[in-house]
Amino acid sequence: MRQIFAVFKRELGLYFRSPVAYAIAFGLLLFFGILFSNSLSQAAVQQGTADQLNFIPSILTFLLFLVAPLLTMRLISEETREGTLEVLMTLPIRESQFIIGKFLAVWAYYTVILLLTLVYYYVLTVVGVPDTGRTVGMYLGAWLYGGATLAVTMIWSAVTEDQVVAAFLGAATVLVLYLAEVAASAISNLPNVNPAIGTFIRELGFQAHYDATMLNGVIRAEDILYFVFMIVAALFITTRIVEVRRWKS
Amino acid sequence: MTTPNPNLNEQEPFIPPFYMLILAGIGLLIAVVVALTQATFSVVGWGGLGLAVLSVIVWGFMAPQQVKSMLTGRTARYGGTTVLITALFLIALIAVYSFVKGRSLRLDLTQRDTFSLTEDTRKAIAGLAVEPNVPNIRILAFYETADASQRDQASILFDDYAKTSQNKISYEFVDPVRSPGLAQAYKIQSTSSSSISRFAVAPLDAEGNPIPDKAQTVSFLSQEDLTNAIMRVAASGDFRAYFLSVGDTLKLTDTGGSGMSDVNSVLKDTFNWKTEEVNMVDLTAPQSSIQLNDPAADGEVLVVAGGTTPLSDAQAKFITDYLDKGGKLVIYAAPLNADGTPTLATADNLSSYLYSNFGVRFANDVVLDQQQAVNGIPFFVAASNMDTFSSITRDVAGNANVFAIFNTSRSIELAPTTPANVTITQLVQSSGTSYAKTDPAVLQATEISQTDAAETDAKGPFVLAASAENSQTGAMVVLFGSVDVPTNQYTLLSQQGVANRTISLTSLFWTTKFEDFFTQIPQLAAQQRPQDAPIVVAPEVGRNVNFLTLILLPFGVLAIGIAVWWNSREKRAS
Repeated sequence: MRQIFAVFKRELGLYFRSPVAYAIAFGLLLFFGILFSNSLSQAAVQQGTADQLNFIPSILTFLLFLVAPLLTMRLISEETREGTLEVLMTLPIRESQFIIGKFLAVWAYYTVILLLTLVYYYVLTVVGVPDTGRTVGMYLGAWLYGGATLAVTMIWSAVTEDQVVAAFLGAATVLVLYLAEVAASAISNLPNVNPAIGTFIRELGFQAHYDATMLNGVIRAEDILYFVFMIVAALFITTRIVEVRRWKS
Repeated sequence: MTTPNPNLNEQEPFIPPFYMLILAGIGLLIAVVVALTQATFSVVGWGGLGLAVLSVIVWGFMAPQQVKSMLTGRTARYGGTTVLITALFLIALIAVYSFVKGRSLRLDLTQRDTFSLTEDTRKAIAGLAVEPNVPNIRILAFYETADASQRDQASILFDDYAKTSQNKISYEFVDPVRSPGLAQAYKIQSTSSSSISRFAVAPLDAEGNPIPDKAQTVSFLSQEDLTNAIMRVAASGDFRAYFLSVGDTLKLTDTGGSGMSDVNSVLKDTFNWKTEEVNMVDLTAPQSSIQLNDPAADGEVLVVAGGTTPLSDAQAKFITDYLDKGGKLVIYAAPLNADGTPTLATADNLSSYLYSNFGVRFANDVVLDQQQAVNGIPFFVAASNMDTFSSITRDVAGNANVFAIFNTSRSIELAPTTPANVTITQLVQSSGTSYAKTDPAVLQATEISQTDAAETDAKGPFVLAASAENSQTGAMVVLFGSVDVPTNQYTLLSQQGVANRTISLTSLFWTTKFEDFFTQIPQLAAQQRPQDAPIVVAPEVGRNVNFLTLILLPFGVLAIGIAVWWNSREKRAS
């Protein structure tokens, strides 16, 4: 655990010293701010309810296909390219501890951004009565969703030394997982195809475990397990990749 | 020199172990091909999967050392078997996920109770669960494949219904595109964006199949609407129809053309009515089990179908007394007697009562029509002129392809002055080309020419069916000029556009206010929650919000970022 915490502390410090991370946060918060203010003024005229304005976490999860690769593209690929990965591997630390520490750091950074969006919820409590239970489910889901996308995009950071390629591939992967529901629907409509195939593909995607349930304040055990297993599986794969690379070198 | 004995344990197996892996691969390939190309995972698919699993197990027994090194050796961590180990790990995760998914563990955090039952609903549904007379109920939810997310949401609420009702309420998802017949049976349109109703709540029959005719449809996933539909379906009500059997009146259970078994079976099987053929002794005996005007009944009607001989005065008085106390009567008139004597419906003891109290009575005639008649036979009048407002005829009125057959029908006379508190509705009329003859000899005619209209014949249109209601006593009567209206020979023609079955049933429903019964069932009203209140944004609050979300938050973070960058720049410089 000490090793994990050491890596975590180092990486988290790097994030909060990096201008890129602040630029990402600024861009997101400005975008959310414009969206929220505009919606608030419209809802005030049309007598909308507070829950209709509680959409920021869902926007954030949608944008993760852009944000997550940007946050994770340098995590391992930079170490590989600069040759520091081999040095780090000589330290008394296992590959899995190294990967977990890095992942926890980027997830913590994402958590900070997510917590900053609670400002919008606070505003809603001032102007109306939002459904707090639904908000809890929404934020829990967004947090797990973020963890899963970050873990998935980390895989590509371990695969390639090129950060741009890692970011691109990470974005494509997250987008594919985001659109799995659309693909499942199309496949299910094909003749002579077992509907279970469509269901399986849908279950692989992110939307099936967030949109219908956690975004609306319903917590299902399988949804929590999905995101946790997605994180575990992605970190497992990333660890395997780093181990193979190390063994080969 | 001795030849060392071969160590039996080191003998090569008869079949190389890796053949088993090849066999497992083939089995798995078969299973995947079947899964991808067939609508169901058939025996072939299961066979392939079974072959794969068995082959792997046999390989494990044949080469245990290979298995051990594959799972724990360097190749497992860094070599070619890494992919296999990773795949097995993922399969294990999927297996655990599938197991947990099957447990349906969920928690509704919403304060609106959007996906779980409110207290009121819970009480109503729990009450149904312990009521033995309530049938099992099924909620059919029609969702296409593109609506999978909405289906997930709905299943959460439905699970709560099932659990609270102790599984008396079950649910089923139906794809209207894959099952168009089922969607049509419940009047569900197929496209998800233009559905007029998406849910159908239906009771189950003895075999556990939902009954479409008794289903209630609901448009949106609203807990109140669904619960109200469940309550309506569950409320069977106590509705009774007594069919008087006197002389040669129609027989309720007669399955022949002149019987009424079709109407009887629809009332009993589809609408859960109690029907009974009774005679005057049953009705008038002091210790009779049949009590007319029973306050315990939700609705009750006496039906007199035909009868060529009049009732006795005492029998007629029994019926008139029943009507005086708010009774309901549907009467079908037998045609003219050959000898000109009155029939049950036209005998003075009943006819004059109906005329003076309700303003209606049967005329002593027979209506013919040579132009609007079935098969050109003038006696078989095809009447399509029906009242569009009365609930008895509005479902079949105004449709040129729908008509009712009034065979050898009398016309109905209306009093020039309607009695006080009475409303008369002319339900069905013959066409303007019809005419009425009063000579019973016309019924013995053997040629069409013998039925031609004469100068002395009254000319149509004639009222062939009428209803009358006394708003003061609550008494209601429906008169049909032809005794053949409710008979099987015509009610079984409903698919050909013949309205006889419909008006036979709806006349009973109207007299008993059967359809109004459902509107009296206590309905759950949508609860108002604090979260439903619209937002209120005062101008100053609006300005503060804009400042916070557009300036302070994003540019505050930017400022911190710039400060951090400046500090690190200075540190690098120093």
